[in-house]
Amino acid sequence: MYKNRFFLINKDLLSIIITVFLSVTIFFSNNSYVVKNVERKIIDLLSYVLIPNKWYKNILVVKNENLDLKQKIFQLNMLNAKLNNYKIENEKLRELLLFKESFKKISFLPANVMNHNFIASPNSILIDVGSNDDVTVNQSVLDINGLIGKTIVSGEKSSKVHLISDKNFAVSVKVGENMDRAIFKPDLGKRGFLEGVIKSVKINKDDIIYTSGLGEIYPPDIPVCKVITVNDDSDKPYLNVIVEILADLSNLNYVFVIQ
Amino acid sequence: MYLLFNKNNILNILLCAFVVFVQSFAPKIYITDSINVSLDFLLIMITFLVLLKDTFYIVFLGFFIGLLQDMVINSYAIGLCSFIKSLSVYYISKIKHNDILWSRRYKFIYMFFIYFFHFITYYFITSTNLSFLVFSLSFLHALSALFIFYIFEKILFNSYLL
Repeated sequence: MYKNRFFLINKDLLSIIITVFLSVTIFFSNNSYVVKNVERKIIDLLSYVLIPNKWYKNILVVKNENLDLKQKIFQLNMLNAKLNNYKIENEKLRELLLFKESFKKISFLPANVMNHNFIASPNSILIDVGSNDDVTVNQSVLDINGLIGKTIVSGEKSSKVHLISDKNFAVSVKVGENMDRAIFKPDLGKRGFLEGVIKSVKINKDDIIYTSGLGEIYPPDIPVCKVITVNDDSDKPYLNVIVEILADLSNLNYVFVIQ
Repeated sequence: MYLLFNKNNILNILLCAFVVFVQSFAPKIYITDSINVSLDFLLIMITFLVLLKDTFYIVFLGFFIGLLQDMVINSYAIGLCSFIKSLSVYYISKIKHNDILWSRRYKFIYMFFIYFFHFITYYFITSTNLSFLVFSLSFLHALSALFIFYIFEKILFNSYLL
């Protein structure tokens, strides 16, 4: 009797139980090999679907962007000339103080962002370079303004970039004149906050915050965010620093992968 | 082979592929520089399908469409969209079961709440706070999805579907 009733279970209910079970299983095994492999295949497949997008974007945007970039190149050339002078001066001073080279040479791989509108505020973007271009996971990605995120999945022809605006994102940064360490964490939209800024640190509105270089993923001195407000709450041991992400996340067209 | 001999299934698969393609080019409505509302055509499509076809299959379809969305948009929450999409499909199917009992207006209000639940769950899990912004974004998303559904229902079914 009971056995027969079991098979009379509502078919719709059965489908929802199965799908919820599968969803929860996938949710809690995000980093498994199978999930990552399927993810790789899907983003590679989607890169073909998004080819027309890339094509019309190139036609519509490139001309105006070219003019803007020409102006920026001119401004940067002027600035570069000034900085070259500082560089020579700095190198001489370093020689006098017997300093070693502190920066590793890094190269930037340009990539197109494959815009998709699967949801309004995604946690990740797709770029059109992958393992065929020597892109691997955990490589930093920048736009012309600053840090955008890091690669988390690398397919053959495309990769997925974990955006700086996602709540799971955190990066070690340096603040103040003494280069004290803090952690940048995003809030909703472009806003974020710095965690662990001790009260003795001198930090002002509009200060640019750079990566500290701690850890394997992000090289030092990449601009991350700009200070919006600094509040000293006497009940808390650290400063309350609200920041704004420098990268233009709403209008991403081209990015650079650090290799 | 079953698929090859079933015209209906082939049509459904083609429709899904087309809507996925349309979704990837769907426009976004910018509220501020960093906050925008996009039109969720995939949710609207599965709403139509669940009202027209057997719920059992469409719950699975919702699951797979959600999974595709997850693979593309999510970093560390894969499975979230498939969960909320299949759950939304299941609850939207209740409209079919109460077709005679519920008025058209009540059905729309019910659908709005399901859409709202769909978006607020997504934003709540991806941003971990229930701020006014999350509420208003979910509200706008649900409203825009319902509006698109209303337009398509008017054009394609002459308002007879609900």
